[in-house]
Amino acid sequence: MKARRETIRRVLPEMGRVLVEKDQPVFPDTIIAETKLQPIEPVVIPVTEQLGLAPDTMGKMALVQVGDLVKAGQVIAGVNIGGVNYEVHAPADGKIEDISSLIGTIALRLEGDPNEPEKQVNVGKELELPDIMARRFLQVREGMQVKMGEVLAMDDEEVRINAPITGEITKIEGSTVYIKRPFVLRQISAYVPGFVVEIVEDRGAIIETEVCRINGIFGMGGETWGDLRVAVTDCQGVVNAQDIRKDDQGKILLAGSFVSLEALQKAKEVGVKGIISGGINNKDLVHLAKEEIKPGVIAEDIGLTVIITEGMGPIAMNPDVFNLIAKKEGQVISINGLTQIRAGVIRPEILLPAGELEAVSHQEESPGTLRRRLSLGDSVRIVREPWFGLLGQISEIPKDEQILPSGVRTLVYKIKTEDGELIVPRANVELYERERTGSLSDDSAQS
Amino acid sequence: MRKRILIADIGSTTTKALLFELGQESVRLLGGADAPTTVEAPYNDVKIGLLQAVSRLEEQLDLPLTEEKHSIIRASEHLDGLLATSSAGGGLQMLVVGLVKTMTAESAQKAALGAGAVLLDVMAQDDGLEMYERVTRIKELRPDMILMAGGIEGGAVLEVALLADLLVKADPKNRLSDAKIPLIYAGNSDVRPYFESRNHPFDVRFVDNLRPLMEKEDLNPARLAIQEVFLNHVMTQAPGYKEVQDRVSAPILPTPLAVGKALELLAKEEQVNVMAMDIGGATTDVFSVYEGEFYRTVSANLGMSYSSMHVLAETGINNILRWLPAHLKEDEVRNWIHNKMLRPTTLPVSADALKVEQALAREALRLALEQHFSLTVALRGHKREGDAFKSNVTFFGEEVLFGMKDIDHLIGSGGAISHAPTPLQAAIMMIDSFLPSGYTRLSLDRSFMLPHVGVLSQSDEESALRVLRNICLKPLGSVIAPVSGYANQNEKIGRLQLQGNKGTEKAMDLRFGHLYVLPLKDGEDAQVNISGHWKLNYGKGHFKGFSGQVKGGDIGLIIDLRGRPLRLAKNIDDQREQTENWLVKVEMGGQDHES
Repeated sequence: MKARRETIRRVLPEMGRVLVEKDQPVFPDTIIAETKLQPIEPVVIPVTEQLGLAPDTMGKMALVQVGDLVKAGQVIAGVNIGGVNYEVHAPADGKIEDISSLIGTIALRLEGDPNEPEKQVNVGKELELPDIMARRFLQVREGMQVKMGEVLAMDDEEVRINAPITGEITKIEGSTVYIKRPFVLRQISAYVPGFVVEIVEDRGAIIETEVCRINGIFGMGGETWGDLRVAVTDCQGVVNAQDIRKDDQGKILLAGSFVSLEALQKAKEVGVKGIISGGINNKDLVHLAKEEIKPGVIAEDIGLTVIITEGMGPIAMNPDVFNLIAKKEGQVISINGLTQIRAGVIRPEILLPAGELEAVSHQEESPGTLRRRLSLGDSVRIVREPWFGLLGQISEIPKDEQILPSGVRTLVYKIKTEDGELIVPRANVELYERERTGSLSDDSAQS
Repeated sequence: MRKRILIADIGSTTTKALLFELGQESVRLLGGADAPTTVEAPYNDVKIGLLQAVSRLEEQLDLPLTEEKHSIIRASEHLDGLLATSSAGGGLQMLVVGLVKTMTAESAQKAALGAGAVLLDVMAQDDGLEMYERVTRIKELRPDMILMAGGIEGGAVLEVALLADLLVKADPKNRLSDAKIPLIYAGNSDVRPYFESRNHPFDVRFVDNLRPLMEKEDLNPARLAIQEVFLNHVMTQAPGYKEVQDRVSAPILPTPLAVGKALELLAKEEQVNVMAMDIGGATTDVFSVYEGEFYRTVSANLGMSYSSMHVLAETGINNILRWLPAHLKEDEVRNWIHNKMLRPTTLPVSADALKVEQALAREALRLALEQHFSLTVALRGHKREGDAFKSNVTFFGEEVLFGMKDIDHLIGSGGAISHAPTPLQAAIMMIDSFLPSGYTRLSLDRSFMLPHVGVLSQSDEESALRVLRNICLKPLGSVIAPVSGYANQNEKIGRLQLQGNKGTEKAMDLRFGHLYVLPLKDGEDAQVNISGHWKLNYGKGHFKGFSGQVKGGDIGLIIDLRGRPLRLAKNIDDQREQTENWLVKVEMGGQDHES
């Protein structure tokens, strides 16, 4: 399999600051962009209602546009009625997200500095009561989330003290309520080594890299990278707990046919970043995830990234794939366990750095999924129990359907293997070509 | 006069063309051929797949059906007409919006499903999403059509307008072309001016409110509008459909709607309530016609391959293991189910692997039926009028319109059922998952021909009925089970007498906890009497027993005395032994105590 030059888009899901420049070399852990502004839900300001006007006057009144950054107190809408100016002000810093003339509102997404101090609201002082009295009227507790404008306290005369910002109540001292806005630092790293070829304004960059891409069949856990260590002697090798070493911290391990639950647990403890294996037990993954596995778009977090190349259960890795990966021992490789089964299939990926001696092709490789009809003598792999992973040659192609031990009637191949000649449904066989590997993501090669 | 009619179902993956010869008194299936559906790139033209299937049919029958080098299908001396159903490109994909999840949104969901739609999402004010999340979600979806409801007549206006506003903002794009997305508005009519008075990216049409009152649902206007829009707008934009549409002699129907038409036909003709299941790799559909009304649910995450892990997650490993012999270990079963998802097209080689698939099918079907009943409940938020005795079926505390005891004819289709190696396996899977009670006929639609029957019924009801009876449905036989009541295991609960009109005779004692299979051939009817027992009710009350005419089939008559719901042992190991005993005895030719 040839390495090839790929461009990879690395961008934040929302606006942020780009930290790299064009042509800059990057490493997997180079931060490409970050945002310190964790956007929370927008504050909806009922503009026309505040002014007692019909909602469809909104269009004429708005003094800002969607996307504008505004400061607290800034006039965002206004109208002149009979020579008198009526104005609506932004309650906080933020970005205008929406202006609706159907219901007469402006939605403001709050932004601010993650290092800003907590907002303090002295309820006793506001209600002109001693702390001990004022505490009786508090309607919030520590740890609660409040939205801007929600009631923090209300006394017997229904005087309300409202939350000035949206956030979490971090503590209550005396009758003073501390509210912290939930900011999170979100970063995106390069994930692969390469060069920045293009900056995506406010979002990130496009990286060009030279890699061998191998797709697994199932994975869990997100993007990660680390030095590769081959933890077994060949593609049949099983990784047990004693095969995980202390100095495996931060590494990605290559197993052969299987990784035991104990090994997975120890790997997690030691701080192994990822494991690649031919097979694994579904039950062990469920044990780590603490729930049944329902692959969706979101990579489930089990403490490390796991990539399976063949299927569930102990199954030897395709030997060519094993050797290809094993050659990169000691080098940094990047992996992503993200798997989606339906609707635009996403398979987990293994990105190997291109070696100096390997040719780098600029062209798209012809897809490894060429589904030619299998013929007599073709090398194939069986991809379902009871002979999962077994290699062989097609020795006969019977014309008529045959009845399997299960009673299922279907077209079959006769396949010569080290276990003797087997009768295998055509649907359970895939082409195995020594020259072209790495097309593991295909479903069975059907004729 | 004999007519030759070509009927094609342009499915999401396969286009299946069947050629029928329709006479005054008889129908014949002359042949059938498949080809991959070609709605997507590189073909972008459904006509190509259709023509390919038809030319295979020509080859098979040595009969010219196309003209000009296989490029045109048109009426000729060999062909009198073309009909089609379609779920190509993933079918009719709809977004449904309502105000309250359990009220208008649910009614709208029923209307869309009943019209044969695939639901991309159902949104409501109380669906727990933030406004921006909804906008992002709608932007991602590329619906063929939107059905919007909300508010009873004279009810909420502002909230509904807000939802409309949300749709306008999200500005979803058409999946197949640049045309405006059709939006059917079936909510509070007071909100119509909002659409009329402003710019929006939709092709809006108004229909009567589908929930005019809290206690009234009126889904038909919305359903009809969906069909009309599907035919005249959505289909015409799908690549290649325009030409197919010009050739057909009756409107193209969405495949699930055509299934509904076929079932309605059967229900009307036999004066019965019908239910059908279609289990696929990714989804499972349940259809029913109860008192002439068509209901349909799609369980998007219940299926045999792509969705196998969802079935496992929903039902739990023990519910799958209970159908499997004890020598199959949990680890192995889990891995097999997971691998079926990873390599969906592979087939079970060993008998054990098949058992795992059939256990999975039972659970997928059982859950799909639960979902069906959770949607065929009486309108929430009000008490149903009518007789108190009829509304005694409850489903998780909700009032259900009907139960399995009300179903007279149960039809199975979809790979796991229709390709089961033996008809007995298919029948037992259907019974274990749907638990029919009282007297129920069982049939298989082996090659999923119900859509063809449905579209034919539009123009020729009599022929459609003949196709349905003589070609499409393969009778498995009948099942009799008590509607309620349990006796002790092995307790003698009565005596059965069977007198067939073609000579089959049988008399035997029946014991509780067993499953009996009595051969009775297709075409043979029999009078069956089961003596009454105070513990069991076959539908007419305790003590009454069962008495009636039953129909035969490939299996014959199944007497299921395992209780409803099935009375299973307490712990999983005993359950596994128990279910294995049922199956082993049945497979050995049924039980026959003290005949």
